[in-house]
Amino acid sequence: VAGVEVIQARLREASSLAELLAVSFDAFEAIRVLARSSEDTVPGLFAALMTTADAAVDGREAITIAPSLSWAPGSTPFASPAAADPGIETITDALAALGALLNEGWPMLRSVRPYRATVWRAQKPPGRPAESIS
Amino acid sequence: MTAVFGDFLRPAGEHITAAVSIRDDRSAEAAFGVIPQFGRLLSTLARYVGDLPVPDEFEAAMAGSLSPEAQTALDARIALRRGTQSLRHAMNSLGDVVIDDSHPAVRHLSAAADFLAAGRDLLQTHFTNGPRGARRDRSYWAQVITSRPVTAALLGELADCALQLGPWAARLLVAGTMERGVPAATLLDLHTASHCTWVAGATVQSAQRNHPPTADACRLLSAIPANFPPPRVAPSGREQVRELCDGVVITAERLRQAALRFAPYARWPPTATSVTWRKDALASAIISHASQVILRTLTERAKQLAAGAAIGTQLHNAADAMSQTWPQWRAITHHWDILSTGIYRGTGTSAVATEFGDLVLRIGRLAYRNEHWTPACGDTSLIRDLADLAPALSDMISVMAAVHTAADAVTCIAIEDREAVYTAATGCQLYMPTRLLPDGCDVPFPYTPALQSRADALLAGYDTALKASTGVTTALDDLAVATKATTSALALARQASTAQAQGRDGQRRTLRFAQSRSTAAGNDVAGGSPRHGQAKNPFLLMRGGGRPGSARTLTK
Repeated sequence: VAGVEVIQARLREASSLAELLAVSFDAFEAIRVLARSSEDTVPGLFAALMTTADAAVDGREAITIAPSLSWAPGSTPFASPAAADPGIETITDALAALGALLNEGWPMLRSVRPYRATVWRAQKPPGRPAESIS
Repeated sequence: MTAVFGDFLRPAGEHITAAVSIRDDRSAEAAFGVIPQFGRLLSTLARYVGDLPVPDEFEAAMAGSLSPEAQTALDARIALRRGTQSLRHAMNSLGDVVIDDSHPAVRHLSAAADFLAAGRDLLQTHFTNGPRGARRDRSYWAQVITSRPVTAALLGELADCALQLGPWAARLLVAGTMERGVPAATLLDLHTASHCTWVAGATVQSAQRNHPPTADACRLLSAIPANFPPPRVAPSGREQVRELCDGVVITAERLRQAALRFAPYARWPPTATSVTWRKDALASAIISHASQVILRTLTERAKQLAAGAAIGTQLHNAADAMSQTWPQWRAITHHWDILSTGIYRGTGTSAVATEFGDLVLRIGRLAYRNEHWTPACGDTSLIRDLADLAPALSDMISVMAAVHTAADAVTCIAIEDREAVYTAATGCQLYMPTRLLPDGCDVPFPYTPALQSRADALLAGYDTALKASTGVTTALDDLAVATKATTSALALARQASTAQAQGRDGQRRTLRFAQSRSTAAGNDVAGGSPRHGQAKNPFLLMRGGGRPGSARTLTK
């Protein structure tokens, strides 16, 4: 699937926490867009793809509040594949591959959780209460 | 199973009939034993009539003319209260006479009083007292209970009881067993009580002679359930079709009750989060999609079972209506992909989410062959065989009832969620991730306020989804009534409740809602000047045009 390979490469090459968070954000967005674009294709996979897209939103939202993630706009928008492009099997393979890569990257994020919490408290926006990162 | 009003009303009537049909000569002690039980019965009947939504005596006198139904209820109430007072006086004037509680008539009357009191308690579970003591609805059945047809049916049942008790009590005096050593005042009080009881029954009977309660209203009255959630039955993964259907009915009932119980809190943080509403929309989409699969399967099966052309057509219509519903719910989930209420505080799984999860599993397992099906199941879900889903016509009706209750629960949740989302939207609580904005927007927060157009589209999506869900429940209501399914009571209840809302305060409620919406829209159009000390809230700043150009560039 066009674009997925690029995100996969970025995920593998991420060398810092900020970079990993940024590319993870884009990866979750890619999963969401891919799953949404395929919801209608096979009725038997409707629930699975809906759930996948929803889980991708959960993942993206979890990353959004990470203090090490740059808040600046500029996430690389993932283009929804054209109808004639890949088959459902190609898309589900791409989803699975992205999911597996994200799973590999997350231990690194979990290991720095106290750091993230500290940074978050320091950087909390004015007028908003401190949030726990959990 | 949840207890229903009929479980108490029926035996109460049977005990009264049994008591008044005992013709043997009772001793004076037994006759004295009857008086307290008669008093309990009369007092309970008076409380029933006192609960009816009619003006009290003073309000009625001030109001001028009342409707015939209200006047009947008021007359019956006055008569029963007077009878109760007389019996209370009779009890006091009896002194310390010896009472025999073992006589069958006394026991029957006692049991009838117990059943009637328990039945009233059941009805009262649907109401609560407001801050000023006024009665408030606590369930979706509350408006059914106070609806005109059900009120008439209840009055009719109470009148039947009174018409049996009044003449029978009068016979106690004629028999003469009481006259030995009983004060004249007691006899006079008993005479008054029996007369008042008869008057109450006769008043209702004569008023209902030309317009008796309908059979549907009587059925609905008997079907009113206690307002307690049935215990949760967690999906086991080994449930067969019948168990799945029973489980769907239980889960849907628990979901309905949970939705209403948490509705007052659902509009305020920390429970008011987009995560809850997003998950609800997701569950609604999956349930509607699987329900469509089930209804299509049943349509085919109805042909094989020769269920009749009418049933086949209604099933087909219901399936069509369902096919209009899930795309609307899916569209709402798409809106929630971008929108949120900001930082999720992680309050844990709500009661509604748990029940919704159970409902998704059960409806999905009804639709598909895999008995361990989950929405996240990676394999393609294969649809159940026709004969496996509904081996016989009765099974088909059970499955239809399950889909009906699930659709009803989805609609109930949708109504509550829509209100909560509306509150969030008008309260400037909808955001989107800053990173999803185009380059060049300088917003120093992880989230930025959502554009009004996005919020409007979300609310419009809820309106459309709600309309589609209502269409489905209407189609399934018709089907349930036509097939005499167990959920036909749900259909009748909705009819009564709708008529009640339209007749009483629907107009006022609609007006209030329209006013609040236009006010909120007006603020937004005007630019949403910063208020409540939230001048730094980027949502308001952006709405007010505080960040030049930024709002315009975010339209995509």
